[in-house]
Amino acid sequence: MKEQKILSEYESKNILREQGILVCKEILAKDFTEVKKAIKEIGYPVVLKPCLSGLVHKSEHNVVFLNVKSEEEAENAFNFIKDKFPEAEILVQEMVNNQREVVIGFIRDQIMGPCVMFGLGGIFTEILRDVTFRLAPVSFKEAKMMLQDIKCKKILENVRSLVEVDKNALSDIIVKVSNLGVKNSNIQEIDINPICFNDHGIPIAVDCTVVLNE
Amino acid sequence: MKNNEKINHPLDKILNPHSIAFVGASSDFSKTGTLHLLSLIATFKGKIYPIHPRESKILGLKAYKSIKDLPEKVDLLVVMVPNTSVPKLLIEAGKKGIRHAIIITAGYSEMGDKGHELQKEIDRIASQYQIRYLGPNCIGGVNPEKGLNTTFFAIKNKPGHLGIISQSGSFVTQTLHYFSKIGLGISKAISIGNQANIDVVDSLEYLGQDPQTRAIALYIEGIKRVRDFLKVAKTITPKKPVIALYPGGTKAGARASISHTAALSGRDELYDGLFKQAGIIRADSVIELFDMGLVLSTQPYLEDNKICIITNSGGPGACLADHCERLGLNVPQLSEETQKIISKITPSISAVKNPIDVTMSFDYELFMYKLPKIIFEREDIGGIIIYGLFGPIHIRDKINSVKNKIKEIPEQLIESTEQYCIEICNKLIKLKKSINKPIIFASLTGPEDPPIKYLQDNNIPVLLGMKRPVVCMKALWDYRNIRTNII
Repeated sequence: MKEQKILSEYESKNILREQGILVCKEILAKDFTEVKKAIKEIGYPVVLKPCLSGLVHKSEHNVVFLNVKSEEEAENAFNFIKDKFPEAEILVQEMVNNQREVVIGFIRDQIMGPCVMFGLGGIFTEILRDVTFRLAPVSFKEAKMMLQDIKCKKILENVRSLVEVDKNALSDIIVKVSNLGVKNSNIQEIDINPICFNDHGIPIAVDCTVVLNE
Repeated sequence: MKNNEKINHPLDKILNPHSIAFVGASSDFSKTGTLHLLSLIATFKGKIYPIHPRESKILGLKAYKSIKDLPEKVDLLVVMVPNTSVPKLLIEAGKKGIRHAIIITAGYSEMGDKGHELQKEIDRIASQYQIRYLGPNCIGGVNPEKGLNTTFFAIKNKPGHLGIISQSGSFVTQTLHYFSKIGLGISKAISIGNQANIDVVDSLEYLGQDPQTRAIALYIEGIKRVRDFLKVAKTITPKKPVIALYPGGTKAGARASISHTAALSGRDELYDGLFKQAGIIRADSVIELFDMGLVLSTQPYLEDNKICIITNSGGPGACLADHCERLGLNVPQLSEETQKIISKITPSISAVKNPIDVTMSFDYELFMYKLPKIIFEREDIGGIIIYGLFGPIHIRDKINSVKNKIKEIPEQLIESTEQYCIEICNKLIKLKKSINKPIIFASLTGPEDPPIKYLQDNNIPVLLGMKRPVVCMKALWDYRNIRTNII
């Protein structure tokens, strides 16, 4: 088995940013002074979470603080995170509307080779299993068809008070992720989960993990 | 390997031979080799040369001591001898100039290190003499049109248009009897076995080109050349429907995984994605694979998902409508105008909205001809499902049950019922040809009832139960979507 390296959230998203995939506004902070500076730049409400290579499924450690609205809350969150992961940096992010969460992923399978996934995201992804795979690379048309291939496809539409998501932009992310994996043989896995949507339905990568083969 | 063999495909040679040498049969009927040769003798129109070191005559055919004694360079060699004897045979065949073989013998790469070594030896010999072969560890091939059948079971049904590629020999041979029960005619059936030389991709490529094959059914346990498979399948599915049964395991998430994606990427999910990407329809069971194969290889394509259901019985009509709705087919209410027209010609208690239920009527002309004609002419309906044909066997059963008690029972009723049913079947068959839209029958009786067999023989599928006909109508709709999306 090859050695694997799990990139931190920030490093993982750098790879997405390089591809022109829209990532939520975020600033990496070392100490609380930097956290305050970052909050000033991003503006309340914010999200605070630890950023550490090898740390995945952060929500399982109760260290993701959503909707932080004051300096007092920020300081409590900062202290809690530092207490649990002293070596971690703090990632300060804008709060993106998370009413709808989807996942886009990549896996290099032993038999199938590079594959790309789209599906229902969030913390229950693995329980609900509403996902669909294709062999990578996929065309834009194939990516668009993937959006229609999950049971919950209607959440992408104009439902309740939500606008229809930008399906072209979402398909574009699928294509980019599939190409990224195909072109970089050192990428073993990519998990963009969740991808949320702003008020205009534009998809924004909120969390990401990239696993490399060393 | 294997590119640009459009006309000159090795499988075309293997499945259309004029002469065959068969090694591994004898006069001993307890040996499977002998029983395989019997299948071949039963239907094959070309020359058959059994080869046996001691016997001079086998099953009435002159036997030859070895390949080099053959009077001609045969088109195909069929091998059923123990695995260790195969290399020597292949060398002899190669020297004789034989270029195509079916190696039924098992005991190669599926059998550990020793088998692997043997396989390597065979690969070496095959490449030295440019021999292309099916197997090893397969059951061979069937081509009913040419009477070719190297398998154990006998061909029962007439040639048709479904091509079969199977990683299990069972679905190529043990199904031959079953096909006659659902009226399925096949074009070719290929058992690919260990796929050492000719694999599933080659086979798919070949059936994609084969003019006799209108639809392809695949039974797959694992694909080695996945990328080539996708590429070849993508070129076929816009032209011919491909259906796959993949029982590859439901143990998703078994791998050690870091990401959600890895945890979710079980074999089944990846194959499912591959099939969707290739435009392949996935079947859930063997029965479904061949049901869909039957319908997709015989029916005109469904151009609209609006279905009309015509029955003479409420329960079957309700079940058919329910299955349609659940599977995403539409059973729309007919227009007021059409309902009025139907009301005029049907019994007063009939339901006329869709499903149409003419209530315990045996007026077959009404619901097997007049109503379908009205519906197709007046309504925007994609296809029709009919239930309620009861032919002469039911009359016969009834007469037999009371014969002892009622002397004057008119036995000629059996024959007249059959005549009447066939007459109406002919009207429907003619109507269907002119309309060119799919019609499927749901039934609780099989081809033991002559009019049902008659419909099946004339490209109107009759499937048991209420769900199977609907599942197949849905497959026609899925294929329509595949064609319009890919093209």
